[in-house]
Amino acid sequence: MITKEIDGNIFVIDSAFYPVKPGSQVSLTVQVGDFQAGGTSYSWQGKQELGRPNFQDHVVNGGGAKIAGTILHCMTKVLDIRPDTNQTSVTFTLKGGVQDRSFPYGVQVASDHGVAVYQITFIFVEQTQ
Amino acid sequence: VNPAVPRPLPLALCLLLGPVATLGAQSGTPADYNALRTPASPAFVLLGVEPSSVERPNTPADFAASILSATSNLSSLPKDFALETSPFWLLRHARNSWQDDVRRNLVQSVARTFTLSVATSELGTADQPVRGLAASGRFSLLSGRLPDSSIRAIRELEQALASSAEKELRILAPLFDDALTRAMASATTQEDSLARLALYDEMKLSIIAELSRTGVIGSDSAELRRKAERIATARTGVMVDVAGGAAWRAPSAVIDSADFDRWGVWLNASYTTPDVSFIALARYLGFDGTSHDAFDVGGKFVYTRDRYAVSAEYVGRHIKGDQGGDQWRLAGVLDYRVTSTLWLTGTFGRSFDDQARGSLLAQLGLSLNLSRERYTFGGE
Repeated sequence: MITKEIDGNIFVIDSAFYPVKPGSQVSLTVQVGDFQAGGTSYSWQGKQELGRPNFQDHVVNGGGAKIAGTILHCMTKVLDIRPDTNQTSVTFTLKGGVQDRSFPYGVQVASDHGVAVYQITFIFVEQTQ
Repeated sequence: VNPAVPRPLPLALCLLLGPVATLGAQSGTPADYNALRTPASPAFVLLGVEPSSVERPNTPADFAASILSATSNLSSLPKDFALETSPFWLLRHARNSWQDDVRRNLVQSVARTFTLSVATSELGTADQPVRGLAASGRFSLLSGRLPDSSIRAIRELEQALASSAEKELRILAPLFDDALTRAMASATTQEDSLARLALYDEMKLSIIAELSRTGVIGSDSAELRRKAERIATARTGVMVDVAGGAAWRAPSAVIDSADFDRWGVWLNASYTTPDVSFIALARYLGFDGTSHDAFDVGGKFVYTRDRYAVSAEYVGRHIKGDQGGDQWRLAGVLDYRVTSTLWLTGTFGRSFDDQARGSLLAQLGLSLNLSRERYTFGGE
């Protein structure tokens, strides 16, 4: 995982493999924590999905589409709206693969109303056993 | 970032309270004790100091570092030190969304508003040094709710954040796909692939940095911040705040020689809407023999519109002891907004002791107020 400040925004960049089975239907949940405001979009197989403003048990590969070997790019932008803290956090949860798994991330922005951008890529790998 | 940070008291209110502060000093009460609100940091009020810098640690590690640094690893009593901290906000809350804080139950209110403050100050002279030490706590039993207008604004902000992410990801995703192909090109084993993920992350960082530098992405961050700044975080409704603290005096800064000096408690209840605020306050200041204990009960009403504000306050004070007695104060304030930050203020009324010089309150003046919220009562 990389955490880097670029032009006043803090970027959290990471990638992870998520094992799936043939025929897996994978769902995505994105939770913005620490009482902060955030919105998410993802890109899968060249298609963009806009969160409202995030995702809750949202099926990524609807209609029985094959998911093994594909890539899911997520981007969540969090803005610090709390005067009490500058901490931000986002938890990405994938369900429907070999096992459900959460990917928690957190970073502290430098000042009030700072922006943290979480860019996480999930690579769906087939696990047949 | 810290809930203990007091909102700037409107200058007009300072003018109103000025004469009271003078009288308060005569009766032995610290100047800021007389403000008609629960102090954010009672320790500072009891000690009678306005620290020029206050340590506000954001993490448990910062908190420990502040204490150890100020006390030379717990070996000495610092000379001029002030610290405010809110234990709840020192910790991370990854499972809590902002919606979880629209309303609070009693336990949540106490936990999320509890602040601890400590302060030390030199109160003596060069020949006879006396180190003052105070500690206090503050919390809200009830802390109102987030107003509907703020909820709508946060929802709009979140949708704008999601749209911004979508716009940027539309540009980034094809570049990320290409980078992943290159990063994984020669990976032959699963272990090799895992190792190459780190390389892939570096490649994504380079892409983001380059597109940020050229303004292709990130150009709307300033506008998003401006949206956030316009969101009022002040809560409305019924709020009940409790605060208390104690102060000690340590001759020659020797902690073992510290004697108890004074203590105080505040109870503040208010009802706040965007236009109208009612506030009631009771407070008690007790001394260790040298002065007379004082007990105040008061109330205040504020009506605000965009360009003007009208307020009235009453405070009754009972001072214990042979030379004590009952006093009262009644004052009204009219504010008119000349520009966005400049207010014309008129103050009229009577201060506590009608025999004392300056007891007639009659002031007219201009005040500069840079705070977005001119009148804010309650805990946050």
